[in-house]
Amino acid sequence: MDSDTLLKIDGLKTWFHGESGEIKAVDDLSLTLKKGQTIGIVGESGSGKSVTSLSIMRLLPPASARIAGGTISYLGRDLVKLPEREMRGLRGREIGMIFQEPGTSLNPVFTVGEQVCEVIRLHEHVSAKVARERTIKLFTEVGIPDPASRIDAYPHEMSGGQKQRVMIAMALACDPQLLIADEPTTALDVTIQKQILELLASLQSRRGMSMLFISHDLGVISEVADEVAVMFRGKLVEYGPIESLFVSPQHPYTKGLLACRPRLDTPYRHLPTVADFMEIRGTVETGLQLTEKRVDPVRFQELTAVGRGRLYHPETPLVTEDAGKWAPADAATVPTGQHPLLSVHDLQVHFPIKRGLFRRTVGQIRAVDGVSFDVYRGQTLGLVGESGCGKTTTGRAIVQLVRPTGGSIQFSGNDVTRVGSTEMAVFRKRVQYIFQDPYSSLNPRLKVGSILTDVMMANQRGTSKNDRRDRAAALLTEVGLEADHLDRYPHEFSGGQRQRVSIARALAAEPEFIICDESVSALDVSVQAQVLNLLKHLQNTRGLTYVFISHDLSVVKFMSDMMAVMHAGKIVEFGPSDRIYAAPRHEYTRKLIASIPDASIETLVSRIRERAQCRKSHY
Amino acid sequence: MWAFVIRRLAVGLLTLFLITFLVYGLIRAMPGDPIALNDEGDPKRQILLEDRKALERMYGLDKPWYIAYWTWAGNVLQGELGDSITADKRPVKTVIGERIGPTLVLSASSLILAYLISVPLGLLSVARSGKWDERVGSLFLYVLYSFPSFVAALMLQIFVAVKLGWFPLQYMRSDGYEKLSAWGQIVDLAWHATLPVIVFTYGSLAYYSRFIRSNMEEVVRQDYIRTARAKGLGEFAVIVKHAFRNTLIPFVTKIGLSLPELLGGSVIIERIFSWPGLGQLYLSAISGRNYPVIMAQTLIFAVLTLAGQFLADVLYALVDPRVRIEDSGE
Repeated sequence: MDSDTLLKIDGLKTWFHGESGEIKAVDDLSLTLKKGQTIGIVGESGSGKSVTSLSIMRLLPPASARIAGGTISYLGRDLVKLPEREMRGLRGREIGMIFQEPGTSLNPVFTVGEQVCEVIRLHEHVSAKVARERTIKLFTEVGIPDPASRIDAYPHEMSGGQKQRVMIAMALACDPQLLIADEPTTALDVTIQKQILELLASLQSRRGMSMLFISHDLGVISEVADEVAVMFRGKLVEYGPIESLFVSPQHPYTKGLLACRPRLDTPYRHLPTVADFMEIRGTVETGLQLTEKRVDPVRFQELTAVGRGRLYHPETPLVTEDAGKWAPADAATVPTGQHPLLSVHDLQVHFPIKRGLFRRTVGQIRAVDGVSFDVYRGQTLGLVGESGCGKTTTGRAIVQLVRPTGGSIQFSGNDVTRVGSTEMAVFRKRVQYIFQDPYSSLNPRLKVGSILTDVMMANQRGTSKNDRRDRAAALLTEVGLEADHLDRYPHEFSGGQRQRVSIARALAAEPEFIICDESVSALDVSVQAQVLNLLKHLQNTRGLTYVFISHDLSVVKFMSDMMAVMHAGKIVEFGPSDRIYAAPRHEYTRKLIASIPDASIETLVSRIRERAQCRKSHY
Repeated sequence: MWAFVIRRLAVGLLTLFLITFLVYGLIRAMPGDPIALNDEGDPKRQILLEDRKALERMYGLDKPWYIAYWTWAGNVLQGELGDSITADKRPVKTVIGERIGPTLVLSASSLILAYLISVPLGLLSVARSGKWDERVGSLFLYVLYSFPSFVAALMLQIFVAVKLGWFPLQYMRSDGYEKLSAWGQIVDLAWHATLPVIVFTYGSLAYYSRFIRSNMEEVVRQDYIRTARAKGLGEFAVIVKHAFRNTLIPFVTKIGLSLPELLGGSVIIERIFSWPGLGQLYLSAISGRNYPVIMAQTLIFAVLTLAGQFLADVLYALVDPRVRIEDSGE
C-alpha cells in the first residue's frame, strides 16, 4: 500500500437478507482514496452508495445486513475485521460523517453545543470548559454567526443550512482524516447548497483531509470531487478522474446519466434517458446484464425537434435585437386578443399567527403576497423558488385547497374564488393536481383500477363500470404502464411508476389544466427524465395547459414557456423562461442561477487546477 | 404560559361541571333510593311514610335531580361534600379520608414498582432485541399481561398464603396491630400489602415495558441515533442518553395520565383481599345508592384525570424543547 493511501476498499460485498433472499446492496466494490483527495460516489436510489458509506463506518443494521466479503483498509487496518471497541474509537475521531437530513440527524432534545461537545469529550477526555471553547471555535470555522450564543440553541431553533453546519462542525470536531458526506446538500435549497459545498471544499483544503462525497447529483459531485465512482444497482460501473468522466464517459450508464439531466442550456425538447444508451436484462438477484446500445444520432436529433417550440405570452417581442440572443428560432407567441385560460390577479394567502388567552390573531404570515400571472391555453408556466417562497401555496390556492385571503383567480372567465358548488364541480373536472410524493399521495388500500375509476365516477366520466375500466386501462398504457397493472396496489410499483399512476389519476378526470407541484422532485434523475418527457408528450397529444412548480430551476426552464421566479411570497421576475435564463434581471434570479452547480468542462478543468495548487501548498 | 393555564382551567371547570351533572343525573335515575334500599327488603324494617318523607327532605331527595344537583354543587363550592346516607351519617370527607391511605399504599407502591422495573426491562429488551433471552422474557411478560388479575389473586391466596403460609390471606392489619411498635406496624402493613401489590403490578409490567420498547424501537430508527453511533458512542450511551431521553416524551404523558389510577382503587382486588380501600367504598356506595359518596368519589376521579392531563402537557413541554406551552392550545 502506498504511504499516501488513506482508504482502500477492495472487493467489498455488503448483502442484506430480506424475505426474498439475499440482496447484494454492494457487490464487489473497489476504491482507493488518497490523503487529501475527494472521491465522489454517484448513483441513484438502490445503487448502494449509502450502504458503502455505512459499511466503512460499520453502521449497517446488524439484524439485516452483513459484509459478506472484501476488505476496507484504513491506514493498513482492515475495518471489516476490527473489533467493535476499536471501531468506536475510529468513528467520530478518525472518520467523521455527515448525513442527508440535517433536520433529523441532530438529536432534538439536546442543544447543538452539547452534541458537538459530546464528541470532543468522548474522544479527547478534556474538561467541559475546553470542549465548549473548542466548539465555539468550530462554529466560527463552519460559519455559524454569533457562535457563543448559538451554541446553546436547540436544533429546531436553527435553519436547515445552519443545522448542516453544526453537523459539519460535529464531524470535524476531532480533526478526522476522512470525512464521509452522504448527500449532505440534497435536503437544502440550492443557494444554501452552494454555501455548504464551498464550505466543505475550503475546510477540506485547509485541513488536508480526505473526503468521500456521496450524491445522486453529478452536478454537485463535479463541484467537489477529484475522482468519481459511478454505481449502478450495487456495482461499480465506472471509476476515474472527474475530468475524463465528464469529457469521455465510458460506461453507457454514465453516458445516460450525464445526458438525462435537464441542463440549463440543454438543446433537447425531450430528454434522452438511460434506456437510449443501454439495455438492462435480468434482475439484481439473478444477475444483471447491461448491454450498450449503439447511439443513434437520428434519435438524438429527433429529441431536439419533436414537439412544439416555446409558446410565449402575446405581448412578448420576438423581433427585437435583444430577443435574438435568447429566443429559439421556432419560438412563437400566443395570438394577441386570445383570453388567458387562467388569470391570477393579486393573489394573497395569509396564515394568521394566534396568541394569548383568546387566541387573538397577532400577526400574519404572508405565504403568498400579491401574486399575478396569466396562463394561456397550451402553455406551461413554471413557478420556481426556494422552500417557503409560496410556490406550493399558490398552486394550492388555484385549486382552492387553501382559501385565498384576497385577489381573484379567473379560470376561463369565471372567478373560482366566488363560484357556487355546481360551478366548482365543473372547475374541479377541468383542473387537476399532481403532487410531489408519489408514495403518500396514492391511497395504499386501493387498487390502481379503483384509484382511476373513482376519479371518473366523481367527475361523471365514462358510461358504465366496464367503460370506465377500459378507459383506465387505456390511461395506464398512455402513461407508459400496462393494462394489467389495474389490479395492483400502489406499493407494488417503483417511485417512477407511482408517479405515472398519479399522472394517470389526474388525466382520468380529462382535465384541460394540470398543476404539477414538485412532481418529479422525489424521483431519480433517470426516472425524472422519463416523467418529464411523458408530461411533455401528454401536453402535445392532449393539448394540456400546465403550471409547473419546482425548486429546480433547470427542470422548470426545461419544461416552461413562461417562468415566474418567486421569493418571499412575491413574484420577483416574470418572463419567457429562455430570457430569464439568458438575461436575468432581478438580483435574486441571478443568485439562483449562479447557485446551480456548473458542470461545464471549462469550469471543471479550472476547478481541478485550483485544487491541485491548494494541495501542493499543503504538503 | 399563563394564557395556557387559564384556558386549560376554564375548559377543565366546564368539563367538571358536565361530568358531575351527567353522573348525578344517571345515579338518580337508577331504580331504588338509599332510604328504600336501607330496609334490605325486610318488612319489619319498613318505615312510616311520614318518616320517609322527612328523611327525603333531609337528604334533598324530594326535589328533582336537576335541582338537587345545584344544591350539591353549591355545597361543593363551599368545600362541603355532605353526609353519607347511612345509619351513622358520618361526613363524606371522613368516610373517604380514612380510605385514601389504604388505597395509596397499594396503588402508589405498585405504580412506583411498575416504573422501576419496567423502564430497565424495556431498555434491556431494545438492547437485546431479537436475541433469545429477550424473546423468552417478552413472551413471559405477555403471558403475565394476559393473565387475569383476579385468578392470580386467588392462586396467590391458595398457594402462597394458605399452603405455604408466607403471607396473610387478607385484611390490612394483624390483630393487635395497635400494640406494635412503629417499625413493627410498618412491617406488618408491608407484609399484608405484598400479595395485593404483586397482583396490582405484574400486569402493568408487560404494558409499560412494551410501551417503552415500542417507543424506543421507533426512536432508534431515527437519523440522530445513527449520528450518535457515528460519533463513536457506545451502545449504552446511545440507548440511555440519546434514545431514552426522546422516549421520555410520550412516556411522561403516560405518567400524567396514570395520576387518577392512584385513587381509583381496584374493586376486585380490594374485595378479594378485604382491603379497606376506595374501590370497595365505591362499590358499596353504588349498591347502597349513597349519592353523596358516589358524587364525592366521581369528583375526585374527574379532578385527578383533568389534573393528570394538565400535568402531562406541562411535563411534555419540559422534556421536549420543541414544544412551547403557548402552542399546545391549537
